[in-house]
Amino acid sequence: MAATHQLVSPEEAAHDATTSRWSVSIVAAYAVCVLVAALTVFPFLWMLSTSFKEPSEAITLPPSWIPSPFILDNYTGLFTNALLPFPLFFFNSIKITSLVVVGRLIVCSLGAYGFARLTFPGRDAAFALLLGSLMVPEVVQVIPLYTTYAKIGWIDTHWPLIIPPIVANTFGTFLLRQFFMTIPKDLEEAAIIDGANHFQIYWRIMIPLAKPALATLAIFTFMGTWNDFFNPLIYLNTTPNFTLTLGLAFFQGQAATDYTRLMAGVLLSVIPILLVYSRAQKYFTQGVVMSGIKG
Amino acid sequence: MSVALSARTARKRPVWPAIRGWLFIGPVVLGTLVFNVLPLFPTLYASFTSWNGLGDPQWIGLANYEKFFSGRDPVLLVSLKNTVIFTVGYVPVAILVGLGLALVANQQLRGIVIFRALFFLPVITSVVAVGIVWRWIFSSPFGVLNWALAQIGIVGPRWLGDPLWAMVAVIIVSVWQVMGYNMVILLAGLQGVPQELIEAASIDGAGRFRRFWHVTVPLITPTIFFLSIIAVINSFQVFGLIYVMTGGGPGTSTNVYVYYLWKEAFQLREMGYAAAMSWLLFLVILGVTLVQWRLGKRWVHYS
Repeated sequence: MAATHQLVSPEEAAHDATTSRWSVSIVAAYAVCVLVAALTVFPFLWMLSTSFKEPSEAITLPPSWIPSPFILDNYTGLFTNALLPFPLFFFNSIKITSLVVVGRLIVCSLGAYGFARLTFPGRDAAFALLLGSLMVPEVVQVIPLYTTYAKIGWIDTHWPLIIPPIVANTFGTFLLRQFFMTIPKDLEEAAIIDGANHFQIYWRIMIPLAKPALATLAIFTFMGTWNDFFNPLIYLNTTPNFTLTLGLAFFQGQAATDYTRLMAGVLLSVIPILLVYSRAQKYFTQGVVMSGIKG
Repeated sequence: MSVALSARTARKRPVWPAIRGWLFIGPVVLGTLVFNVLPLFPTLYASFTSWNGLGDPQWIGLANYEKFFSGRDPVLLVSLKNTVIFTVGYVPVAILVGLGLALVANQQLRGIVIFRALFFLPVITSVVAVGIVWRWIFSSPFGVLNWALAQIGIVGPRWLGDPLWAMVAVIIVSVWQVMGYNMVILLAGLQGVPQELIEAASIDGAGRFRRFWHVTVPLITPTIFFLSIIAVINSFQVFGLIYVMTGGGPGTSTNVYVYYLWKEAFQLREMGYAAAMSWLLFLVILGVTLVQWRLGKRWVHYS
């Protein structure tokens, strides 16, 4: 069983690594890592390879890694298809995602400051309300929200994908509140003596100090919004309004076996995520651990 | 200007701190109330009605709940069964795989940072992208997976075309997508285990396995416990991957609860019945959280 070599404490592993570099457990650990990494990366590489193939080559066995001929048609085709306005999907996703990221940072950091630093009537009740709301699954909200949006003309617009994610995010508020509470109060006390009010303290002191936490929230929000599928599926009806995820799912519904073009589309949709992740991996992993440990 | 404002209002003590506080927390509290909490009540009301979502709901009392519990809805029974199968298949495997990876990563291997970044790629990718790519890998006559299996002498199943294997495929992809997340969380748990305890056990003559089982495992139970709650709750709500990979099929073999709920609400326009389904899901999730919390008190070691 694969677990035997893993039952090694870190100090022992460090010891192994320095004294007997090629001890069995280290070699086995690398073998596991390489195998799992291959399993994780394979679908991405296979998608890359397929996206440059001709449809006939994609369904030829045995499969080939290097496309021959190497064609760009699958990509150019995405930009010339009037029924599937791929550039428009891209634009919609970018528009919605950037608005949600900016709006959420403002709303959550304001709320977090209030919860972390101010004392006033109703604060604790409000906090309990936010905590409780974490238990309500999205599916329970969606039916009345849908019918209400239908009444106010929000269906098939981007409003349901922008406004609620900005103003109703408890996760981000908790994340930032947790961070604000770790910041020592000395600076603020000095600022208060100098006559600063709480809004100035929030803007001039807390926000600059909270940059790592804000970066974490920004990345989480970017990924969550960019990758969201459920809400676009419920609230959008016509192709020009689709986001990338919905557009790709729709594309698959139209041409389920058009794999070469599907892979090109999927790859383009994943690139922005990969770019952000490679730049800000540190913040992302930190955020996962923070949110995970705190529950 | 604002300094003058706060100086002037400071005299009216009881009012200003409240206003100021609510100026900060107002947006997120109001937003959460309007979009997350209040919708619970119209959903509850709708669950006692027959409603297509457009006209006036017709009050039908408990009829939706009767339909649910009487067993007269065969698709519902199938979707419940499928959700249980998915949960039972997904949760333990996802946690064990995550734990295995975390134990590997916890040895101070060179280059582990790169591996960890790679293991995380599926976590950051959308279910739509993941679903479409895996559908291609699993596809039956020309799929690369069955070709690879054939090379080692195994005749692969028709995967997404086969009622039994379609569910297996969905579980495989779900585990593949979440293992990096579980690894990072469990790794943080492992790194919180005090070295003195492991050394003490070592001095007392405990071997690797006993140290792992009697020292490390009890100390990371809070993390394992947290992950299982998340995994169970998520598996009750699996939707996107099903939508993209199988559409609930073949037949009804991967038609899970939330997929059925979505179909009832937004394809068949049975909003009343769907509302009842969603309220029951809410209660089950609440129940799971509370029961696991109580059970957790018994077997989880909080240090």
